[in-house]
Amino acid sequence: MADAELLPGTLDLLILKALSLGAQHGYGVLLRIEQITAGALAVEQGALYPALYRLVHQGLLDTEWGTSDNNRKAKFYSLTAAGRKRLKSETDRWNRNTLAINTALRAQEA
Amino acid sequence: MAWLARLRSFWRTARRRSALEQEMSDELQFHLVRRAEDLADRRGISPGKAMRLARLEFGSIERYKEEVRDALGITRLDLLHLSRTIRRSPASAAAAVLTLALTVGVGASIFAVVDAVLLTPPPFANPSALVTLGETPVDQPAAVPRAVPDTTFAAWRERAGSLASLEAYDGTNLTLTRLGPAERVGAMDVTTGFLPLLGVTPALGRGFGVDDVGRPVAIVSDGFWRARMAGDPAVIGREIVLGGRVHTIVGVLPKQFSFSLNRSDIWRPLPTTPLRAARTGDRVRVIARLGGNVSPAILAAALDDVSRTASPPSRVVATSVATAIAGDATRTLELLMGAAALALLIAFTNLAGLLIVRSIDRRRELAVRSALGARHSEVARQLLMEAVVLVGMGTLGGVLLALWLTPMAGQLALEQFGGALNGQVAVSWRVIGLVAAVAFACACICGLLPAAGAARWSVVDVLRRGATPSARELILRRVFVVGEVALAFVLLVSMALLGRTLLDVLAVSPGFEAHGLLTFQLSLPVATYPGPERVVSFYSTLQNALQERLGSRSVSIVDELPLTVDRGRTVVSLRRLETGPEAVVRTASPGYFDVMRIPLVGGRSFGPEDNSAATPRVVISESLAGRLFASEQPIGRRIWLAAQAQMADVVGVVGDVKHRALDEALLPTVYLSALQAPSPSSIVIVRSARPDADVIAAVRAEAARLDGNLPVYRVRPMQDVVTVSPGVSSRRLLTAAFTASALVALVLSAIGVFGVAAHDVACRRAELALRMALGADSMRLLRATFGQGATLVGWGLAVGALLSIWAARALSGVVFTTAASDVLGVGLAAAVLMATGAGAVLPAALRAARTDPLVVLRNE
Repeated sequence: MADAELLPGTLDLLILKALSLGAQHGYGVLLRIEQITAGALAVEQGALYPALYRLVHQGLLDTEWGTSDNNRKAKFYSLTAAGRKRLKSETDRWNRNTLAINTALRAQEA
Repeated sequence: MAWLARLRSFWRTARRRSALEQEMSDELQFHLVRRAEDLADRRGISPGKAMRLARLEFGSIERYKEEVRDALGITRLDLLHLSRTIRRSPASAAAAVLTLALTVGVGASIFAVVDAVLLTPPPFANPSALVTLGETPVDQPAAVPRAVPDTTFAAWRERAGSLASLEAYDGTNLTLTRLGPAERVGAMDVTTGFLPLLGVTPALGRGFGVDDVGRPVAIVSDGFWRARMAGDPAVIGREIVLGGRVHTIVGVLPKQFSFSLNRSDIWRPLPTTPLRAARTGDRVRVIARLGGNVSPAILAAALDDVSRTASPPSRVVATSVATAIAGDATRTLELLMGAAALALLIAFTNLAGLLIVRSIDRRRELAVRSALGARHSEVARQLLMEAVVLVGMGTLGGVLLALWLTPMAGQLALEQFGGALNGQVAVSWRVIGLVAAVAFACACICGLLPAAGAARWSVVDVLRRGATPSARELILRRVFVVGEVALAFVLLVSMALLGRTLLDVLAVSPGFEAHGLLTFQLSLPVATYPGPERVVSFYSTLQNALQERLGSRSVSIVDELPLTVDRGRTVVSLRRLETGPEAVVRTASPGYFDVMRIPLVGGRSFGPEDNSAATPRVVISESLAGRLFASEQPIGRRIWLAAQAQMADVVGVVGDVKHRALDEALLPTVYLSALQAPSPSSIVIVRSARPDADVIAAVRAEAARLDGNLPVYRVRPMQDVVTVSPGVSSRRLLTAAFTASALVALVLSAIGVFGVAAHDVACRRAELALRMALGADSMRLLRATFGQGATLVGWGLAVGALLSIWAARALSGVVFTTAASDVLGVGLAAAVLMATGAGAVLPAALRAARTDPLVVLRNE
């Protein structure tokens, strides 16, 4: 794993993104983030859960106990309507910010 | 019902919390299992190894759980936060809460008694202006002030003028008949101005008027009216029979009124001086209401010359009513409060120590949290919250315990302090308020000390030093342990001194053999037994009948038992109307000294021939013989008894007995023959080999055969009389209280020393290992650890020794201290604490000595 530090606030966004592809349990979320970032961003395993609970608490995620692929009881997370909306607004904001910062950084280089 | 809603929401949170905890555990477990499976697949390692690796990767599960809880914002004011606190170190938290509950409970119960005895004013109008007046002989300034003759009262009243108004009362017991079974009731004969002086008006009927003096009228207490007359609204004008005489009820006193100096149910007008003049030796007690700006001392000084010319010459003693009511109870209660306060202090010290250790253990979490933006105030608040929760639980438990203990304490207080109770002994809001205030203040201190420490941490320090606590924290922790040891020392010394004194007092010979004696009180009403002949004939017949049933040398009769009262005194001299030593007067029937096993020193004891046909005869005690006759032979000499206004022949000399308390000086005694000077109220004493039940049945049966209306009451073994006598019972109580506190203190200080030693060794493992590796032997490490424990205990002993000086001063009224007993007490306490300290350090020391350098250094 190429370890890049997570920027503050990015974990929430990554979780929302990972879950936008379908309901998943905690470990599944971790694997999916690894997968979609191509292993470029390391998520501390334990840190995932406080973030998940926080998002549930904010009403962005829903939870349901179900059965995992190899028949174990697991807790599945899915996006709520509010979560979907937040993902969209956060993505927009992120893009705007990155654009602005990229512009700024390029200006400095010039 | 806002509180109901709040309670429901609290309950919901509580249930949600436990569900949440379960959910978190399940979820994290699932995560670890899946991770382990993946690792096993990817790296081809064994499942066990994979699981270990998964755990290692994950890091501290507890820490993340903690962050989840934080994320949900449930830590802050959630009372269940405490469940974590407890789960982390359940034993020490439980011990802290338990000791707190115990000490708070006992403290609150004692305070409830203090409240009823010392802090509640007597139920009279403006009680601070009321004083009791009494006399003490000039040569015995420390004696208990006593009642005065009617003539003195009259002279005082005249002398007082506008300084104060004076009233008199005289307590007695009367037999109540024809209102259920015959029964003895407490009665007070009072001057007509007595109730108005206290500011009491009857709730029903009227008070006494001047015309009532000498007439058979009575005012009854509210309790008597409700219990004995079913609260009859038409009670005024009803008649009751007291002492064989019909009395008309003219009033009922208000419910809240009680005269604690002499509890009674019946109040009658006191006959004025001329009516009582015939009965020599009668005395009254005097109460006065001071005029404005008059102090008790001014009044006493104004009345003094009346008493100085009395026989024996006396001084006037004016005591505020509140003080008079509290009496001996004040000292005992203050000491009890002291023991309770020390125990409470130890419980809080223990808690503070615990919280410090816990804040040290949690420093990483707290430091990270404050680095992540939590302000110091939040961290402090969390530590404080923890203290408040622990203290809250302890206090709640304590109050519950107090609710359970207080009725017992009240019963004990009633037995111990009798009249001194001005109010109910109950867990009142006042008691709860005080307990809550003290507990909250202590919680703040206990919580803020570690919080203040936490405020100084910086993340850098914490991360650099890891779990090693700062020197400041270590010192603070040590200070608390030293405090515990010091308090334990003070309590142990106090316990030793008290216990020693109790044993000393119990070892004092009362002058008779209490074991195996049974006593029975009887009282003959004047109406049925008008003259001395009738009284003599009743008691002689009773004694003869009982001797026939129980054995000829096993029964006797006396007017008052030793170790109960020292009333009834006379001045004794060799010539008529001279002054001389004062002696307690007792009236004894034939066989008394034999049954009591009071040694006969010379002459003979009373026999049937010492009756009304003979000249007055007395038996005197050894100390009186010494005072009167020095080395001359007293037998056959004549002495003058001032109170009886007669000369009497000395026929015998007996050993002295203790009249009021075992720890008081011997009082000279003169015994009159019961056949010559009978007392209507007397006590039958029986020493028999038969079972108590048989003896009691026999006495009741014989008394009933002679007079069916006569109650036999206050049936008790003489041993009980000794046990409840003033010098013994309060010391027994105090010894018990200090022993209990000392044991709690000892256990807690042992836990404290153990904790510090164990923590030290754990923190210094690397250092110890290094030393071992460099060649230090285990004995040396053992000694070093012991040395540290000894330093802690040593400081505790030093501080404790200083505090003990103060404690010994506080106890000086109760304990007999000699240099020897002091040294013994201090030595004993020090030895016990050193042994306990050594025991507490031992496990840690052994661990230090067994340090395996290889294992430790590999782990570090």
